[in-house]
Formats: sequence, structure tokens, C-alpha cells
Amino acid sequence: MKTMRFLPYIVGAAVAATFPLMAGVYIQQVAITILIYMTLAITWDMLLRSGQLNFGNSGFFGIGSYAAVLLFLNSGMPAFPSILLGGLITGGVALLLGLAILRLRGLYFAIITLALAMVFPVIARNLPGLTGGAAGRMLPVVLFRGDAAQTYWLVLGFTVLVILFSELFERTRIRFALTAMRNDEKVAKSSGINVYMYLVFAFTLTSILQGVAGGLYAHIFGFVAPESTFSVTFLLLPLTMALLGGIYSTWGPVAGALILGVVAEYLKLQIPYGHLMVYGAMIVVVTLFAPRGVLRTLKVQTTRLLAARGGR
Amino acid sequence: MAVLRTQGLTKRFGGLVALSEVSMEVSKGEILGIIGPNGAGKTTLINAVAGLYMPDEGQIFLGDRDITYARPHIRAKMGIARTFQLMQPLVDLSAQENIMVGALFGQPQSLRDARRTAFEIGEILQFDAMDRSIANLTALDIKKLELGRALATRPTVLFLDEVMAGLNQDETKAMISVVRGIQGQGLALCVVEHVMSVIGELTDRVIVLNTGMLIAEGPYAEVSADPQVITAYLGKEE
Repeated sequence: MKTMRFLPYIVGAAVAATFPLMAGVYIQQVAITILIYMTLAITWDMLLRSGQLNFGNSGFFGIGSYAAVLLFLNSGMPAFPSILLGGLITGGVALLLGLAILRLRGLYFAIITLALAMVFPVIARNLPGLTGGAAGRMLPVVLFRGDAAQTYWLVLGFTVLVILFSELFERTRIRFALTAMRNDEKVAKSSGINVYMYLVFAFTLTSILQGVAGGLYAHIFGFVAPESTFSVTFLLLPLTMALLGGIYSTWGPVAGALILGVVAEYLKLQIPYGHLMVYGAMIVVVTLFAPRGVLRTLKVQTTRLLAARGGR
Repeated sequence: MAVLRTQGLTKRFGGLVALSEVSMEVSKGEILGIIGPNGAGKTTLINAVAGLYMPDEGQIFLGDRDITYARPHIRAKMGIARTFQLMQPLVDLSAQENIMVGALFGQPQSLRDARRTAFEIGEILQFDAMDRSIANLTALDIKKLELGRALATRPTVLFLDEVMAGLNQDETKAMISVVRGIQGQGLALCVVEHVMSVIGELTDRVIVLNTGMLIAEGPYAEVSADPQVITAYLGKEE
């Protein structure tokens, strides 16, 4: 029984780890992109578990991208340290902003994070001396000189790290704190939970991870530019993935990223630009028929099916 | 000896004075009733003491520590707990996990210890729905759950905000025996209640609030005969 429970994880890990041995370079590139989006989906969900809707993902992703690239170009720092330090810088920015804006709740918090995400690219565009202005900056070399398999393994490692953080949020007292404040903040406070501290912590940690994701992305694709680096896609796609797979969990966003990532790539080839309409349709269908996400609905249905069979 | 004491506590909402210079105290092992008509300031008093509202004037002491400006979660850790008038279980947690929240953060302990604490508190409360989901709980169960979460913080002062409201006679009886059981733990209990028979049966002493002011204080039998209290509840005879 116990091995059966771990079987999906073992199979999943084995497939994920040996993937480059089975797939061509193009498929590997697609997988890398999906994994990056997956980390954004998971981290977005991690903060959502506290009840706070963060629309600033793309902003922190972009800060991480810019920080990594500028550190690499201007201070001659090697790629890996530049990505890590980029993540920490993103975390520093998030901490300072979070201390101020985490007094807000619900829609007010969501709107101010969205506004911040819109401000960052404007700043990037207007500091041409540092950021290259509207044209952005190019990297002379990309990570692993563009070797897809090695890049894939690196990004996979980072994804596993993000999953571990998410599970840390799920299996420790952090889950109790975040769920309590999401359900009822007054009850949480009256039970001794330092709501503000937990919010600052969750916001900063998820921003660090989003910043690292941004740094990785920039070093993989070799450039930063205001429009594409701060693209709203880095907010909307992960958000859609999390909703699709199921929020308030680690594996919901993982499943959502896999489903939407594969479908999106396929559709992009089949009906360029039409794929956006299909995204929309998918969200409508999921919201209507599986409001708690695909994963949970599947679980409930299979449990029901098994129970019905057992009953007979 | 007074465990909790307020001195000249005043809270205004715009032009409305919700609490006006309320000075009260409650001792270890005592059950204090807080009564008064709707809008008298009973829940406001709890919110001020628990730290959800900052008072405009006055002071609050827990033992001899001035906690007037302490934040709510700090007060919870220091030993002030309260239930909420509207039943507010944490719906995404199981019944046991609801109680664990109090244990985990009120008197910080490990998950395993918190689970045990929740179990022990369940026994005290005669709560037998520990593994059920919140959606399947009865009103009495939810009241007990709310009480359990508060109790799990190991309070020295516990405010019960209308825990009998909405319960039928049998449930009320069960709840009274539960509250008596809690009193045996030696904490100071403050009970806000509209059901006067419960107040009469349960409390050692009551304070009466009306339009934010403390108008009477003493044993229930005495206070309920006080003409000022009767006027507050029934209105003036024309």
C-alpha cells in the first residue's frame, strides 16, 4: 500500500529526470519553458494560500531577470551567482514593498501589486544607461552555451526546489497560519498568529523564487527588454495554470502547468494566435465544471467511482 | 486577585461612543457575566480587550502588565482568548486542525504536541466530531470547536461571546456543563450572554453595560432587581 502511494511520485520523478534522453531538442526547449512557468504558478499559489491575490508576479520575475543580466554584464559576475543574487535582490525589493503594501487586503492588495508590476518596466525603459532603455540588453553567451539537456536539468532542479518549498508550506505550521488567515483573519489573530509577519515572509520568499525564475529565463534566452521581460504573460499564464490544476496545493499548479503548457504549445503551432481563445474557453469550462481545479475534481470522481464499484 | 483589569476604557466610532469609561476586573476562577441590551458595547469591550480595536482612552492590564497597546496576536500569546459571536470555524481545516491552530500559535508547540492538545481539549469539551469536516458539524459542535480553539491557546482569561445563542434547551444544558468544566481549569471566564437563565445559573458576578457605560455590578440576583438595569432593558415607563 505504501509503495502504491509513492508510485506516482517515483514514476513522475523518473520520467522528469530522464526526459532529455527520450525527447528531441525542440521538445526539451518546450519543457524548459513549461517548467519555468510551473515555478511561477506554484509560487503564485503559495501566497494565495494566505488569501492574498498577487498580481505582481511578472514584475518580480522581471526584476530577477534584469538583476541577473546586469550583474553578469556590468560586474563580470558568473551566470549562476548572478541568478542567485538576482533572486535575493528581488526578495529585497519585495520585502521593502511588502512591509508597506501588506497592510492592504483583498482587492486593494491585488490592484497595488498589479500597479507595481506596470511601474517596473517603465523604470527599466527610462534608465537607458543601466538597462539599455527600450532596446534592453543582450547577453554574449547563454547558459550552457544553449545545451538543451543541461539547461533542462538545471531548471528541473530549480523546479524541485520550488516544489519542496511549497510542500514546506503545506506540511508545517505555516499551512495552519496561512489557511487560518485566509479563512478568517480575526480568528487567526485572536489565536496568536502574527498575520503581518507571515504575509511578509510568504511574499518575500515567493518573490525570491520568482526572481530566480526570471534570472534563469534571462540567462537561457539571452536578453532582457522592458516589454518582453515584464510581459503580462508571466502573470496570466501561471495564474491560469494554477486555477486550471487547482489552487491551494502544490500538485494542482504542477498539473495545470503540464496540461496548459502542452496544450498551449500544440495550439500555437496549429492555430497561431487562436490559442488564446482556447485558453479562455478552457478557463471558462474549468471554472464552470471543476471550480476547485482539474486535479481535485479528478480525485473526487475517481474516489466516487471506486466507492460505487466497491459498493456493488 | 484581578487577572484582567480595565480602567476608564473608552472607544468611539466617529460620533458614536461605543464604550464610555468602562472600568472592570475579573479574577482567577471567577465567572463574570457581561450583560446589557443590544448595542450596549459588550462585544466592543471584548474586541478592545482582545486588541482588535485600539481604545481611544483608558488602559488594560493583564496581571500588572499594561497591554493597552499590545497587538492582538501578542495578547493571545499572553493569555487572552475569545470566541466569536458569529460562528466562524476555519472552513478549510478539519475540526481537529481548527483546535490545533490555537495550540500551535497561542502557546507555540510542535505539530505533534498540538495534535495531542487538540485531542485532550476535545475530551474536556465532550467533542466527538474531531475527524469530521466542518460542513457536517451541528451548531453545538461548531460552538464547541470555537471554544476549543480559544481554549487551546491556554488562556488565563477567556471571553465567551454568546456561545449559547442559537442552541436549543438540551444543547444549552450541554454547553453549560462544558463551561463549568472549563472553569475547573482555574482561568478567569467572561461570559456575554442574552439568555438570562444561563447568566443566573453560571455566573458569580455580572456587570451591566448600557450605551457603552457600566451601569451596575454585583451578583445576578441583586443586579436583575436594580431599577436602572430594568429600565435599560425594558425602557422607561411613561
